[in-house]
Amino acid sequence: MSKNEDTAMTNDEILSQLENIQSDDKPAASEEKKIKYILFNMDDKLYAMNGSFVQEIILGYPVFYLPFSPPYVRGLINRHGDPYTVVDLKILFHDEELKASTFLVLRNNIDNLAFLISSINKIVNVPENSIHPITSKQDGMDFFESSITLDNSEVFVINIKTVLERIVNDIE
Amino acid sequence: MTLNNCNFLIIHYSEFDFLLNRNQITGSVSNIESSSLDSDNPYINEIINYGDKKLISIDLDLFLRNIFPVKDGSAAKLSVIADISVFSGKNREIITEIIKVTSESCDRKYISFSLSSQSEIKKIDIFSLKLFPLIFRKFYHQYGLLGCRFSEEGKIQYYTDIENLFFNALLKKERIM
Repeated sequence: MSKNEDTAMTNDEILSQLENIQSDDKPAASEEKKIKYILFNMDDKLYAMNGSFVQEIILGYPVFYLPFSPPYVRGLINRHGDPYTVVDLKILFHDEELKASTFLVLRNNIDNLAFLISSINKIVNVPENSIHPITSKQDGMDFFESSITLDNSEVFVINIKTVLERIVNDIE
Repeated sequence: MTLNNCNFLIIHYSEFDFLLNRNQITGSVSNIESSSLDSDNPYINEIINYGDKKLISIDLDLFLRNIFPVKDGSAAKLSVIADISVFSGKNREIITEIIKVTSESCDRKYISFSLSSQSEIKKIDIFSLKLFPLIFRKFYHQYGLLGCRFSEEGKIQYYTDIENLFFNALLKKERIM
C-alpha cells in the first residue's frame, strides 16, 4: 500500500497535534480562572451549584415514598435501576414543599442523591473575583458556601457539605 | 460457592411490593383459625392456632398500611410463622417477655405475622437488589428497610428485614419526622 503523503501521520505526529489542542484549551497564565456553575430555580428563587458536583439533570421521574425520613427527603427515584434519594432543598431552607419534577443529580462519588428543583436557568463560567465567600452567621446561611454576582444580582451557591452534614445530623 | 438466587416472600400491594427473605420464615398458612386478643399494642391483636400451638400474631399488614401510602384493600390475610431463635439476642429476650406478659398460654418459640394474602414465594437474583444511598443506609436498616429494586412494571420493591420491621410494629415506632 502506497503512503498517502497528504493524510499519513506517524503516531508521534498525532500525539503532538493532540497535545497542541489540549494546551490550546488551557487558559493562558495571565487569563483569569473561571468556575462553572449551574444556575437553577426553586420557584422564583435563583440558586447556583458548582458544576463539578452535578452529574446530570433529569425530568419527570416518579418519586417513590420512603417512610421514617426527615421531611425534606421526598423519596427515591429510579436511575437505571439504582435508587437515588430526592432531597427537597426548599423544605430545608424555607420549610415549604417544592412542587416540581426536575432533578439535579449529584455525582455519585458524593452519594446517590438528587436535589428537587423547578428548572435549570443557565450554566455560567464565573471569574474567581466574582465569587464572594459567605461571612454571615445568620440562621440558614450555612447552607451556602459563597455568592456570585450576575447581572448585578447576588446568587447564593449551595454548600453541599453542610447540606450533607445536616442530613447526617438529622438521621443519626 | 456463591448463590445468586434466593427465595423471597413477595407481598404485593398496588403501589409497591415488599420482599422478605424466605430464610427468616419457617412456614406460612392461610385461612387459619384465630381469636382476638386484648392488647395495648394495636399490632398485637390476635392469637392463631398453628397445629397444636397457639401463637401471638403481629399485624404487619396493618403496620405497612399505616406507614406506607397503601390504597388497596385486601381482606384475606396470610400468616407467616417465624422461629424466634433467628432473632438477635436482645430482640429475642424482648419478644419472649412480651409473649409471656401478653398471653401465658402462647408458644414462646414461634411467632406469627399477619400479611396481605397477595403474596408469593419467588427466586430473586440478589444482585438485582440495590442498597440505599450510603448516607441513609444505616438509618433505614434500623427500620427494617435494607434496600430495594425496581420491577419491570415500574413498581418499587422494598427489601425488608422482618425482625426490624417487626420491632417497629411492636414498639409502635411510627416515626414520620
